Amino acid sequence: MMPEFELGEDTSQESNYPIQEDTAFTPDEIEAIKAYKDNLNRKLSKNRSILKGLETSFWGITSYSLARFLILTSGTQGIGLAIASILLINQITNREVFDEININRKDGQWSADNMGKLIKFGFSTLVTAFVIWSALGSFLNIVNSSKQTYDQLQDTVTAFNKLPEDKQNGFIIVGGLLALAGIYTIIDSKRR
Amino acid sequence: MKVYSGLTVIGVVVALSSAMYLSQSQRPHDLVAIKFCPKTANLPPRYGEEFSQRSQESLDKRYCRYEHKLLKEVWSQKQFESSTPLPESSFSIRHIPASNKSAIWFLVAPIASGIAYLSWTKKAEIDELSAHSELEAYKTCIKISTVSNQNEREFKNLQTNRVWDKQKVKHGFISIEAMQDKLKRSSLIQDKTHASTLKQFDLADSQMDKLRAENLRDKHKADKESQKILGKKSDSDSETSSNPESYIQERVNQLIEALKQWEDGWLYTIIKNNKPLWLIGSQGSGKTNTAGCIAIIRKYCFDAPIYQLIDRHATGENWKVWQLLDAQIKAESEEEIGQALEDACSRWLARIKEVPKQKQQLVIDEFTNLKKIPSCKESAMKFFSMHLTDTRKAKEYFIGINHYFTNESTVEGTFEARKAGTIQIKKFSANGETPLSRVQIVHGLVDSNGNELEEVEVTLPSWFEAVNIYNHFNGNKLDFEG
Repeated sequence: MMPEFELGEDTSQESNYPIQEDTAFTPDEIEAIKAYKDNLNRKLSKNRSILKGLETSFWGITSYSLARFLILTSGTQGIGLAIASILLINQITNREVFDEININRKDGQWSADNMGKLIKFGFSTLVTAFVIWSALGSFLNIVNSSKQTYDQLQDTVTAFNKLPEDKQNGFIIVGGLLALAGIYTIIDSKRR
Repeated sequence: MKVYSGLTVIGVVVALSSAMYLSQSQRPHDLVAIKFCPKTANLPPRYGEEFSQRSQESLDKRYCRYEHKLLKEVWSQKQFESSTPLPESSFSIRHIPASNKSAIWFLVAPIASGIAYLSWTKKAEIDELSAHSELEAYKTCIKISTVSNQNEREFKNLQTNRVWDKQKVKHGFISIEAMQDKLKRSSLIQDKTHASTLKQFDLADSQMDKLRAENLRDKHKADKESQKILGKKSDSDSETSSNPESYIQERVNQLIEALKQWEDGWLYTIIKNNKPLWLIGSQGSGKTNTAGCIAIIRKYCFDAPIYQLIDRHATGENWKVWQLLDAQIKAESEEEIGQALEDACSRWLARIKEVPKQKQQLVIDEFTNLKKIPSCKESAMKFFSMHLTDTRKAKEYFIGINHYFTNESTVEGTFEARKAGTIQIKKFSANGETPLSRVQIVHGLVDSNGNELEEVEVTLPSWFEAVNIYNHFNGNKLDFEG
């Protein structure tokens, strides 16, 4: 016999497993069983929540440690790689978000599904920024200040190699007087 | 499971301490401390020793007392990149190495964190798997506890009732006789309820049997009609499928002809006769096989399906033969047999009143033993007495199998009726195992003048086997010459 396919709105599928009646229980027993089952479910949900937390902390610790390791072993050359690895891990942790957020234009208005996931993505990006800052911030600061120190040293050496300013002024005055004297001599000889 | 929880905690602690404490140091990078210390040009002998020294002190005071710290890597890089690198001879350069390089802890941290995560995953998985069994165990535990408590309550209730009954008797509110009477009545009601419940079960069984029989009858009718329709429509070359009705008819004609030809047709006469037929003989004489043959021939040649089969060994050693009969109802257990015997008696009466056109058959094996079973004894005796007269009128072919046919094995006082109303065939075996073709018709045959013949010696043909006869109507034509 051909199965009947319904193409209407109702697409819910029922399980094809037969349902079996359980042993008979008194109302008190049913209540106790229900309470026990609720406790079990609570325990399982707590497990899942902790698992989620452990996963997040795993990725956080991994990205921080990897970035710090690269900086310590490769120095400034590791900065790019460290940032790339942190962003890559951020993408891994947010893989569901990228897949499930749909932004559509409907009736002239933009609408986005799974906004909750978008907010989650925002928070995780913020966390990533903190990780980058804590792993690389101090090092970047040292690099920058070292460059400035070097530039200052160079300026000091340049300044040291120059003549003192009073001697420079003496040379300018003498030179100027000599130039004026020369000009006067030339003009005077032409008059004659 | 506690192991996994412990591993998780240890993993988290190791990961955090590796990342946040063990790997941290005050000076993680190599540094250089640089002082710019230019030398004076006012050197002797052009200038005096004292002047030269004062000039140098003046320079040191101005430049050399400042120490600049920068990353060693940046210093080297800048020096390399600059077109006018700083003259290192004018500088005092002090290398400050990184203190306690422990970058390896940054690799330990993710591993420890991963172990913590995997351990908790395993723990969560075990919890998920054990949750159902835990729930079921709780259900069992709670059920056991409830049953125990209910029993305890019931017991205490009885105990209390007894105490109060004693008190009632003691104070003269009720007499002992009245109390006993009350108990007796209560027990009577219980017995009645029990009997009524059993009857309800019996009723349900018989209704199911009836329904089953009706369904089988309908099935046979439907099969017959299908065969008729297919017979008209099919153009297949196959003899059986092209026209099953004519095919069966042809086989029927062949068999009847062979039976008529065999030893003056005694076999055909007996098979066609609607008197109850009893096959008697010792063990191994082939009674069951012969009964099966006759039943199959009656089914195909005289259009009489096997309605009921009563045999305590129906699914045992006799099954090979009985399965060929395709009986509509089988009675095997003692209860079923007792019920079947009762049903048969009432059915005959009903059929006699209905005057049916359709014939049917009843086969009963090991009748001798039925009388010895207490639950069947009465119904067996009634059945035997009734079958002598009723089966023929009810158009029900009857085949009975017995070891012997004395008063002891049947019913006392029925000798004449047995002789007049049944056909009795005796079979023989050579050594208790191999059936002989020799057959003695003890009574039931008459000659052309209507005289009763007794103890007529005849033989059975070699092809007279239940399987052969069955196959004859189901594809394999029987060789009557062999």
